[in-house]
This record gives sequence, C-alpha cells and structure tokens, in this order.
Amino acid sequence: MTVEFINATFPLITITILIPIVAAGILFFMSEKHAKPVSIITSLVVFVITTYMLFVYDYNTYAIQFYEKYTWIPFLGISYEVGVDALSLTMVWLTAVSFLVAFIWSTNIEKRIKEYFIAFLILEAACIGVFVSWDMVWFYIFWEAMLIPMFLIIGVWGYAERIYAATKFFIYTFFGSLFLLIGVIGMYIYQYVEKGVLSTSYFDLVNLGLPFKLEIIFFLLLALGFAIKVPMWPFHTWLPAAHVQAPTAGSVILAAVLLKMGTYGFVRFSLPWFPEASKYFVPVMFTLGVIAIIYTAMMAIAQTHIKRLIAYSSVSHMGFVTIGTFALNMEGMNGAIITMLSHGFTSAALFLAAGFIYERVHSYDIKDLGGLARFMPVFATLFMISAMASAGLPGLSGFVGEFLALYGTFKVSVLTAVLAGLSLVVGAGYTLWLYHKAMFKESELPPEKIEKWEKLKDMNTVELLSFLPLVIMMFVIGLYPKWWIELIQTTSAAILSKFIGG
Amino acid sequence: MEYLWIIPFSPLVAFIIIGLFGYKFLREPLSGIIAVVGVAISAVASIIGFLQVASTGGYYNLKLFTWMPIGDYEIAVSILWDPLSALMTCVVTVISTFIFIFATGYMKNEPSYPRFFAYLSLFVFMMLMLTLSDNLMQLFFGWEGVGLASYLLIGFYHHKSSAADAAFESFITNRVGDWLFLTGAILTLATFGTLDYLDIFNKLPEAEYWVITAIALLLFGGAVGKSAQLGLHIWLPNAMEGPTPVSALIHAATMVAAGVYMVARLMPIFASSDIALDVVLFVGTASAFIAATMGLVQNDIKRIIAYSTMSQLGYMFAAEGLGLFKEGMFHLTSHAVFKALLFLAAGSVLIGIHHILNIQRMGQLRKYMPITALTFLIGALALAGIPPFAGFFSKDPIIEGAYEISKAVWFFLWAGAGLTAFYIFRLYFLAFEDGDRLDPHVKSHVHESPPSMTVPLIVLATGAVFLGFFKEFFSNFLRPSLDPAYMPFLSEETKRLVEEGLSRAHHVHLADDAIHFLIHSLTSPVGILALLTAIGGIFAAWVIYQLRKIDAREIARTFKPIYLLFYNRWYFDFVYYATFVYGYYKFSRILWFIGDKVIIDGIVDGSAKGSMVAGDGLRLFHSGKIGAYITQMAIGILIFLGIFLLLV
Repeated sequence: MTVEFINATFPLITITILIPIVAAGILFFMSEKHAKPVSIITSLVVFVITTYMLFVYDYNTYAIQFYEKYTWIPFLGISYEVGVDALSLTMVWLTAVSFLVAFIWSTNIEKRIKEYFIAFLILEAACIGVFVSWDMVWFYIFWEAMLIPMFLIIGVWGYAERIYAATKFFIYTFFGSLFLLIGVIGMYIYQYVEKGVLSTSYFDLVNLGLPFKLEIIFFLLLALGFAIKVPMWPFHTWLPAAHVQAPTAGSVILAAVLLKMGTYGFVRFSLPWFPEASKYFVPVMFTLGVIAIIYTAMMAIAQTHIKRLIAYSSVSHMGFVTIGTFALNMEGMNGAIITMLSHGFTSAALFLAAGFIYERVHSYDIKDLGGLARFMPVFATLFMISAMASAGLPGLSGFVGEFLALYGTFKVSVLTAVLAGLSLVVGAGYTLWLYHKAMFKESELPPEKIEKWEKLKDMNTVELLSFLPLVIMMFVIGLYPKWWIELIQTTSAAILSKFIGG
Repeated sequence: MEYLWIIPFSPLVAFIIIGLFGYKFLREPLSGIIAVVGVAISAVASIIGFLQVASTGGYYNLKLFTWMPIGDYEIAVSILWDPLSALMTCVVTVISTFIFIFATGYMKNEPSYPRFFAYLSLFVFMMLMLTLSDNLMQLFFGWEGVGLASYLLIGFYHHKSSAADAAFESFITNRVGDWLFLTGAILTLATFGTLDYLDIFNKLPEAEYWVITAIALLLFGGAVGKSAQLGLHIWLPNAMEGPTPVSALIHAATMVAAGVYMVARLMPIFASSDIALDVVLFVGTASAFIAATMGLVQNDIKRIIAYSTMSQLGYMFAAEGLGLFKEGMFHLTSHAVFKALLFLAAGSVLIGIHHILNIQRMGQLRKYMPITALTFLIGALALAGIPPFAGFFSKDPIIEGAYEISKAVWFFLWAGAGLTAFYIFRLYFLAFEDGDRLDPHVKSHVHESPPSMTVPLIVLATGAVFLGFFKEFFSNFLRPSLDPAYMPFLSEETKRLVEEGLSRAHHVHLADDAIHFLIHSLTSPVGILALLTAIGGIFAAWVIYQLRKIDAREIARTFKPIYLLFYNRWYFDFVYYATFVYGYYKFSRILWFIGDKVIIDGIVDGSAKGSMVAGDGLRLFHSGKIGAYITQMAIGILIFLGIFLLLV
C-alpha cells in the first residue's frame, strides 16, 4: 500500500488539537464564570476549522491531506505525524459537532463548573488526536489520554453509582488498550527483527508483510482492544453501566465519539494491517455483529431506564458497523462509515432527549413517565425525528448506512444480512417502545402527575440550539447521502485496497 | 411533462408550512385550507397528466436528482408516469382532496387541528413518492414514509392508551413486512445491479427462476404487511383508533392499497414466476374469505368496515394472482371510491351521535341523517356488488374470472361475496334502520353533518354509482402498463416471458364494455349465482336485523364454536400477543437477567473483585475528593511518561 501525502501549508490539525488544550490551560487560571463562554467559543472555533477542512478536502484521489510530520525521537523512529483522510476527517468533524453540542447543553451545569469544562476540553483534544494520528505512539497517547477525563466526568459529575461505573469503564477499556499496546509493540519488534527498521509510523507498519500466524495473533490482540471500545458483544456491559451514571453531556460524547474509536480502529488498523487474518475472521465478526444487533436489541427492550435502553441500542447499531466493515467490499465499508457518522448524531440526540426529560421530571425510569408529548410538542417532534432516524427510516440518516452495510453483507453472506435486517423490526421495537412509554401512554398516569406535566416547559433556546444541529444532520445525511458517499468513496477503496485490488 | 414534479411536492410544501407555522399563526381553519389547496393542486396536475397519458398512451421517465450512488448504479429520485402510476396517483390525490375537505369539518374545534393536517399532507407526499417512483428504493422510501404517517395518525389521540398501542402495533407489524421487502430489494440489486423497474424488467430473462421467485415473494411479504393480508393483518382493525378521515384515506382507500399497486407495478416480476402468482392468489383468497367471516360478528362500526377493507384487498390480490391485473387495479379504483365513502359516512354518523362506535347502540339514524344514510346505502350496495353500482363491475369480473381458472378459488371468493353483502347490510340495518336503540340523551343532539362533510359524501356517492360504467375505458387505459403485448418499455424477450406467465388467464374472456358485461352476468349461471348470493346476503341481513324474524343470538348459540372463532378473529391476535408481544418481552427480560447480569457481568465483576481484594490500596479511588483525582491523574501521567522515558 503506497500512500500519497499532501503536506499542510499551515499546521491546521496541530492547531485544532492545541486549541482545546490551551483553552483548558487558560481556564485553569481563570474564574469560574468564564468557563462556559470560553469552552463554547473554543469548540466553535474547532468546529469552524474542521468544517473548513471538510470542504477543502479533495476527495477525488486518495491522499493523506493536511499532513504534518516532525521527527521526535529519531533513534526509535518516533515522529509526530498527523493528517486526515476522509475517514479521519468525518470522525474529527463528528467530534467537533458533538463537543459543540455537549458544551452548549452543559450551560446548565452547576457543580464544579471549571473542572467540568477543563475535563471536556482535554477530552476533545484527545479525541481529535486519536483520529488524526498516524504515529502509533501518539495514537496510543491520545487513546489513553482520553480515558482520564472521561473517567472523571463519569466519576465526579455522574449519578448515584458513578464510582462503580467509572471504575468499570476505566478498568475495562484500560484492560483492552493494554492488549492493543502489546500488539503494536510486537509489530514494532517484528519490524526491527525482520527489516532492521525502527518506525512507529502507520505507513511503515502497514507494509510489514506478516506471516499468517503472526497476523492472527496481532489481529486478536488489537481486536480485543477495539472490541471493548466498540463495544462488541460480549464485552459490552461496561457501556450501559457507564451511560446510566454519566451526566448527559458525558453520555453524548461517549456514544457519539468514544464508541467510534473502536470501529475506527477496526477499519483503520485491523483491515489494512492484517488482511489475511481479517478474511479469516469474517465469520466470527459476522456472528458477533449479528448477535450484537439482535441480542442487544432484546436487551434494550427489556430496560426501564431510558439511558440504559439507549446505551444498548448503541451496541446494536455498532453491530451494523461491524458487519459492514467485515463485508470487505465498498458498499459495506461506505455503509459502516456512514453508520458511524449517523449513529453519532442519532445517539447524541437520544441522550440529549433523555437528559431533557430528566431535567424536567427527575426520573430516568419509563415507569414514571408517559404522556409528555401533549405538553411539549416541540420536544416531541424533535425526539420523534431522532427516534425514527435511529430506527432506520428512509430519508433520515440511519437508513443510509444500514442499507449499504446490509447490501455489502448480503453479497458475502445472505444469512447474516437477513438476520441483521431483522433490526428493522426489533430496532423499531425498542425505539418506539421507549417513545411510546415516555411520550404517549397518558391514561396510566395518576392525575396529580398530569397536573405536574402541565406546568412543564417545552424546549428553551439553549436546548433547541444543541438539539437542532443534530436533527438537521439527520436530514442532510438521509436526504442527500450522495455527497457523503463521494467524500468517503476513495478512502474506502484505499482501506480495502488489499481486498478488492484497487 | 416536466410539471409532474409539482404533484408530490405541493403537499410537501403544505406539510412544511403547516408544520412550522401551524400552531403559532395558522391554526384553525387556515391550516386545513392550506392542506386542501396543497393536495388540490396535486389533484389538478395529476388529472392533467392522466388525460395526457390517456390520449397519447406513452410513458415518461423523469429523473429529478441522484440520491445515492451504489457502485455503477445511481439511485435517483424520479417520476415514472405511465397509465398505471397515473391512475394510482389520481386515485390518491382526488380521493385525498375530498377527504381533506371532509376533515376540515370533521376535525372542527380539535385542539391539535394543525398537527392533523400537517400529518395528512405528509402522508399524501409520501404516498405520491411511492406511486410515482421508478425504482424500488424510492418506493421503499414512500412505503416507510406512509407507514410513519399512518403511525402518527393512528396515534393522533396519543393520550389514549388504545390509540398509542394501536399505532405502535401497526408500525411494528408493518416493519416485519418491510424487512422482507427490503431484503427483496437488496436481492434485486445484487441480482440485476439496478433497482429501476424498467431495467429490472428487461433483465428478467437473464435471471434464474428461483431468484425471481425469491424476489417476488420477499417483495410480496412487504405487501402482506402494508395491505394487511392474512398473517400480518392484525394491525388494521386496531388502526381504527385514528380519526375517521384517516381511516378513510389511509386505511381504506390509498395506503393499504399500496401493496396491490406494488404488485401490479412489478407485474413482469410476479408474472415470471408462477409460484409467486400462486402465493399471491392463495394469500389474497384466504384473506378475502377469512376477513369477511371476522367482519360478520363485530359490533364496532369502523372495525366492520376495516375487516371489509382487508377482505376487498384480498379480492384485488386474488385478481392479480389469477393474472387479471387490470381487473385488480380497477377494483382498487372503485374500492377506493366506495370504501372512502363508507368510512366518511361512518365518520359523519360518529359526529352526529358523539362517537358511539357500537352499532348495537345505534338505530333509525336515517331519520336524523338522511344524506349520510343514503350515501352510506349507495356505498353498501357498491360493496355488496349490486348492479349498476361500481363494486359490481369491479368485483364480479374477479369472481367470474376465478371460476374459469380455479374452482376452489372461485368458491371462497363467491362465498366471501355473500358474507360481504350480509355484514355490510347488517351494519346498515342496525345503524340506520331497525328499532330505536339510541340513548335518549344522544338522540336529542343527533343532527345531519355540515356541507363540508356532506358534499364530499355526495361526490363520492356519485362516483360509486357511475364509475362502473367506465370499465372499458379503464381496461383500455391500463393496457400499456399491464398487458405485456402493449407495454412499450418491455423487450421482446421479457414480453414472451411475461405472456407465458400470464397464460393462466388466457381463457378468461370477460367483456370489457360495462353493458355487455352486465348482460353477460345476467345470462350466465356463474353471474346469476354471484348476483343471487349478494342479494341473498342482503335479504338475510334484512330478515334478521330489520324484520327480526330470526334471533341473531339464537344463531350464535347454535353455532357457538364457529361464532367464537369468528368473534375472536380466528385467535390471530391472541396467539400473536402471547408469542411476539408478551413472549418476546418476557424472554428479553429473562435473557437480560441471565445473559448480561448473571453470566457476563458475573465474570467481569467477579474477576474485577478478585483483583480488588489483591490491591486493597486502590481504596484511595473512592475518597471522592476532586483534588485526589487530579493528583491521581497527574501521578498517572507521570508514571506513564516515566515508563516512556525509561524506554527511551
């Protein structure tokens, strides 16, 4: 695999990573009341820069663009190397949007405001860093750096059982990333032994030409790290726990951005690095993907806690990314990437909706809810659109990716595609079940509750501002996927170059 | 023909305007007026297009924009305008216009008035995307879109549990069909590399028989869901929780007929596989008969008509399965008119007597609502298949055609027709004639509905009277879309394939001309038998429910098992609820407990606890002080950097 680079004339990516860190540093010395405006402006700047990159990016040929490389520790072959292709770019852009939304939403935070925003700003820098790094050391630094602020966000600003959830999240993902580290170090050593080269660059490790057995071993090591992050069944139980306890903005970032790192890892590393092992493990990945889709859809409908339900739905949707990725063809890959993007928006919106409900009703339990639609029509509409996008209604974002992933899978395994397609039924099942129980179903409510509901306020400006961008994106992707497909087309082809010979 | 794009987008614009400004600025009645104008513009445009295509007989394929590329194929939002889509589009827009007008009266003083008309406009847009599509993907977009609109409208009174439940049920049941449909579409794309109808048709001769069969059956699975055919029908009666104009428009005239339309649209695919045609025939016949038996014993005025809809859709599918596609589409058209009429008349009744649904608590309504009663009677006669009303000219050809092809099918369709006549006149006599069973309090308020409601009734009733005489026109009109010999877009090879598939209908010779058909029916034994059966059904209803010569309860007691079977709707709802609803939910709960909590978390937390005991020092973690966390974070980073530097 040979890759072209288009060097950055201006270190845009480095600046994008640095802005949140610098802002966090400044915030550290500033008074609490500046925390909100500084954070929102920072994330807005990041959003503007990444949007600019999205439009400037040349998607006609595959090249790593806005590429920067500076040698760091020469005798170990470690450099600072960043750049984007369409996959990285869409993920970075998704990150920028999600953080902007999360920051706007967080204006109502009251506890330890300064620390809260510092943690989020550092998290933002780390998330962007993960998606743009092409040097494995930097990738790993960002990958791990992300854990600490997230751990704090859940552990400090979470709900009653936050410590358990935060610890579980931390230990679980840390456990996974250790295997990732071992795998990468192993490849690094193999490279030195076989080729006498020391380099931690992605572009050197991609051309190792590993023997099959080693491919299998390294694939498994990395896959464990990624699978926990996705999360794939049966490594998923940390996610519901974390979501239930996380504050709303934390859940948004966790679902919209952090989950994508696992699938990003599979697409970015597992396929190009271990093509033979990837082919070998297709049946396993398909099986796990289908289990994720069906089994966790059943888990979702069994829940009464709104956030746990949505958390399980995330696992279910990630199943589509898994099968799409391992279909190892263009449609599947495009579908996987679009699903990643779309799930970012839909899950973020659903978690915002959960937070919105909690702020008014002070309960996440669907047994305590019902009949809200009548009293909050604007919210009901936006929530409905998000739910439908999540359930894969054509014309909204969810359908595009799922259809492509299903089609790609169908060409490889009819059975997998047919079973995964059942998500149309079970996915709509839990999503509408949630909506049904929370928003409709008024007659089971005691009258004093209805009295209380009548005083509830519909969305305020802040909530609308954070919700609307997500809903708009669901329409943008759903109604005009052509643009996105063209954007990622060359990247998908490059990632699959070892499978489809182009 | 460029102007055709106005047809779907005019209701969309109405939807957006009402959706954004409905509550704040438009309210009542402006929202309703905008919706009516939006759909009326579509109706005018589609009638112009209809006349144009009727005079030229050609077809037009308009690509509006590319939605998504898949490999070499580009899925486009587009319009295919040929006689078939023109007819269906006209049915949708014209019937919608009248129902919209009716609804402005029906929904008076409803607090959610703008929301109602926004949803209705959305529905029409989606329905038109479905009818106008030239490819399976846009069809599916419209297909799911009307499902959404239907969901929203069934659950329009969502504060009522029954309405919310029915909406949920309808969406999920439809999704089962949609799952099959989407699988069929994916198989099509994988086989032919395209989703455009015309390209698929011309590639049919290259495909293997079993692949075509699989495609046809999977797509038909979608139709079974959408058109509430046996197996996935349970949602339709419950869908009557929606406001009555919705029942008339979506759950009688248009959306539920989408399945019939889809099969006709893809006629070459279905005709290429006789297994597929047989399945369509079987499901259609079974639905036609079984739904009629369910309709016999219900007491809810709307549900009776709903079962009737399911049954009539069964007739349409049966026609298609017999290879009589033009007859199926003609029945769809006339059914749309008289069934919309029946529902709207029922709606008018409900407004008059304040939403009492039980026909046992009605009676003598003709005295108070003469226009409603008369128009309902016309609709009922049309449904029963009495000449010269529309239903006779559209339904009898199917029954007579079936006689030529399969005696068994004929028997069930014929018996179903008798039941149809009986149940609809049972409803008529109990509601409009018979004794005085109305609540005295209600009786003092009963009134005929305002002109916004009666005028649409009269217009539709006129249609139900005269539409049948256009039988020949429709037959000729549809020929370029449904008769392979005349279809301009088919290649010679496909034509041969399709003609061979439709050979089962070759020895059916039905007069196209309405007068000749009428004379033929009155002279042939099959025709006379069918007619006598319909009259017999009406007569029986008259004897039992008007003259009260026979006690209905006595019959129910005598045939108790059969009565219970019909009354409990053949236990479909019961079994489905026990397995798919309750069973699935309970199983999920158990699986969650065992799978996730006991097994997976047991292993994970167990091993975590094990290591916790080993490292008791980790308790610091739980101190809960932010300072401690930041210190730990700093220490962690330091350790990490330290290890890293050591490596250097």
